[in-house]
Amino acid sequence: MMLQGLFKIGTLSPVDEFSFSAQVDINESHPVFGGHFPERPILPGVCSIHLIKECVGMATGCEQRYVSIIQCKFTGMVDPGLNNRLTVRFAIKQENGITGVNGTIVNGVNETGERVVLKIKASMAEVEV
Amino acid sequence: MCQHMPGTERKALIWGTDLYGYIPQRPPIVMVDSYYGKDDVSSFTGYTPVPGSLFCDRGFFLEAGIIEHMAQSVAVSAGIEYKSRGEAVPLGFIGAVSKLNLHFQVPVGKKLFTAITEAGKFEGVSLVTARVMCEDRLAAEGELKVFILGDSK
Repeated sequence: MMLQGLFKIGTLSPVDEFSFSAQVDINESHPVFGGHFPERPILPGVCSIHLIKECVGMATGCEQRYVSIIQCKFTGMVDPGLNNRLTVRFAIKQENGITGVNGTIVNGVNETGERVVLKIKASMAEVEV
Repeated sequence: MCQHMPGTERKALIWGTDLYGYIPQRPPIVMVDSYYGKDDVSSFTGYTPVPGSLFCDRGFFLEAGIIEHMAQSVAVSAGIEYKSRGEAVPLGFIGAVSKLNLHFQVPVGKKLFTAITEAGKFEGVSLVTARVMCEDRLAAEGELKVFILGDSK
């Protein structure tokens, strides 16, 4: 998959039984930035949505797909040339094969201006292989 | 009209690389390949995910690709409107996605046909409902808030 290589997901740390946190680096030389947008590289919001799913897949131990996005708000743009570090935080609730997800993505490193760039509430299902 | 969205019978008015004249995105993240025009309430676009493209993974078109396709469908209409006024094609960013349901996994190679219905429009913000059909089945529907950033040079 061509999306591979866009993100480097570091260690996924459990915060408690249902909450997790992951440090992610964006590969700013990924080809997607050549098209989004020429001369103005901005991480496509849908790639952040995809990143949440990848992290939930790691936390649950099985590949997930979105069945619904109740709400997802983009609260800031991510220019990987300015700061390519993301922190993904999310809580999950599993019921009847559906995983409810509440997550945020933060861009930046603490005192140099960390800001929330995405908030999401969604439901996922295991991908049948 | 257009409730049934008879995608296969429609003829694209703008397609392929000609669409680059109306959207700010470029490969590998172009997720719209046809513009079918509009009626009183909606505009209509299409996309066929091809193997090896950005959001295709092991035979399926990923959810992120479907959402990007919805957003670029909004971008096409905005681009046409801006160009008709003699202005540059604006940049567009998704501000929010809500009430989105993805009914099944879309196989790569299947034609998507999409209706975008504007629910509200403010200065630089477009609120729309998007419905994506895949071979006469509703694949996904949801609401998008898209920020349109015109050239203010």
